[in-house]
Amino acid sequence: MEAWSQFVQLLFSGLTVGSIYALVALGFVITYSVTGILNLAQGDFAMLGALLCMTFVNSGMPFVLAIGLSIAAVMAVGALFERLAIQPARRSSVAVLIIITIGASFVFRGIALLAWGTDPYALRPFTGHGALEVFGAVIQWQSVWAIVISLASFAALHLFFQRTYIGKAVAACVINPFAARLMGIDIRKMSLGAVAVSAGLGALAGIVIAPISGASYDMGMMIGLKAFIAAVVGGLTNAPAAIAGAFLVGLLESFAEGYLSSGYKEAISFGLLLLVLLFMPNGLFAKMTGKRV
Amino acid sequence: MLVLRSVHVHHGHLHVLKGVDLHVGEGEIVAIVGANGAGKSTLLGTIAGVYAPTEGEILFEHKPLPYGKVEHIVDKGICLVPERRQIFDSLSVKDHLLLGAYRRQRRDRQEVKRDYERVLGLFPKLQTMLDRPGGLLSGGEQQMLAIARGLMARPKLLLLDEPSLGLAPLVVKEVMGMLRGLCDQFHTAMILVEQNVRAALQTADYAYVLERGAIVLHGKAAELLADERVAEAYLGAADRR
Repeated sequence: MEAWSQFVQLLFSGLTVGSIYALVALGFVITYSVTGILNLAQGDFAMLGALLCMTFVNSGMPFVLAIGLSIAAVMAVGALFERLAIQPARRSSVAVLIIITIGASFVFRGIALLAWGTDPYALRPFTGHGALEVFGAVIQWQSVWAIVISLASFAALHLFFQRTYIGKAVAACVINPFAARLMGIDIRKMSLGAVAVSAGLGALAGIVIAPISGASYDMGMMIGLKAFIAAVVGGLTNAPAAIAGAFLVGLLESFAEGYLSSGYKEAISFGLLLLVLLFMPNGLFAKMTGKRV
Repeated sequence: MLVLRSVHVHHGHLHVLKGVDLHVGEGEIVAIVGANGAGKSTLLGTIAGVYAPTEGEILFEHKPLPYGKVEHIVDKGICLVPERRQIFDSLSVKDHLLLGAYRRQRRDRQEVKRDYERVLGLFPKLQTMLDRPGGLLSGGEQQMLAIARGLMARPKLLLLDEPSLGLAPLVVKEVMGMLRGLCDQFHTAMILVEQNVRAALQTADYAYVLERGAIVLHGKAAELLADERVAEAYLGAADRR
């Protein structure tokens, strides 16, 4: 019985972390699909979201308003970042663009360091400190929130791309940017929107995880890297595969931490990244696709 | 409605177009024919704003066209149906048509809806496969879809780049046979770039022969079709037998 409850405990902690990685990984995929840029500052949007939300809540703002406002603020930061740092360098090489995003990541972290210092902060859980007992495992309500919110976000995005006109215009830009431009679709606007939405997803992830693991100026680095692994495992342009990859990374980490030793946690996720890059550079879920010409 | 005056275009050090003069009238179908590498696609691309002319001017309805901003050319009333059709593989036929009207979608929804019905009336084949992803269509169907998508922008001038490319002879006939009718129905002029010289000349009103970046011959399409020089160079030996 004890083994069983431990298993459930680890499963839930893996799913919780996985859903956070999935939100950030989705940001990677959206930005990469629309703009062709690997935004390594993606994790720092989570950090900005968490710290801003914490500040708003501590200033006495209602929780829901604080969440909405901090997501909106981070989306604005993302849009600003796209206009000031990405757009002027659009024609540069991939390496230059990646270095620009790394630079932006340092800037975000530096600003956060100045504004909030090095101490970690806590954000209160969305609905009290209570916990749920399942098969003898203790599951925080915040974990349930994390999983539910991420699943709801995926559903919303899926509907957006499948059902709305704008979503299809974005898809057109991803599939064939030249043909999309010929039809009058402005790719620069799409690029702005993609980075802003990715930033918003990152912020949401940061806000959801902050009550569980705290918020500090340097939290973006690890979240960003793990989500990056998930996105790579999923092949970088395939959103459902990136989500699956994120849960895979989350579960692997959780079980490695529980059954082996917490020291192996990072080794296992980065080992996975190396294996995928070495043997299946198109992602674990890549399948042969034919294209008619 | 469209006038080109001694237009030069360079791709890097390559001098691709060397002073092209061209004229397209209201409702006219103009063919630009020539061999591979003569600069036909560059010429269309320049009109569509993909490439910037290094010299000369392009006037559309007496106003110069902007270049470098492909996405704004649609608003001026020019729509390019690109080479190799450039279909969005995973989007449905219906989505293609609706996205074709992207710039008008918000302004006049009713009008777009009417045009949608009219375009489907012109291409009854597409009507039967509205939900099929574009990537699963045959070459001929994809070409029709690309033209239909272009028409949904309600251009005053439609640019077709090699619509016969990679199509079976019977399908070429079918596609070419539709062009006149859709120009009349949608009150649009058309520039048709083709390597299939015979098919192009049979369809067009007027034609230009492009050779190594310059117009070497132009005249009524029917006259060019009978011209010995054209027959010799482009219509092949089968014709002279």
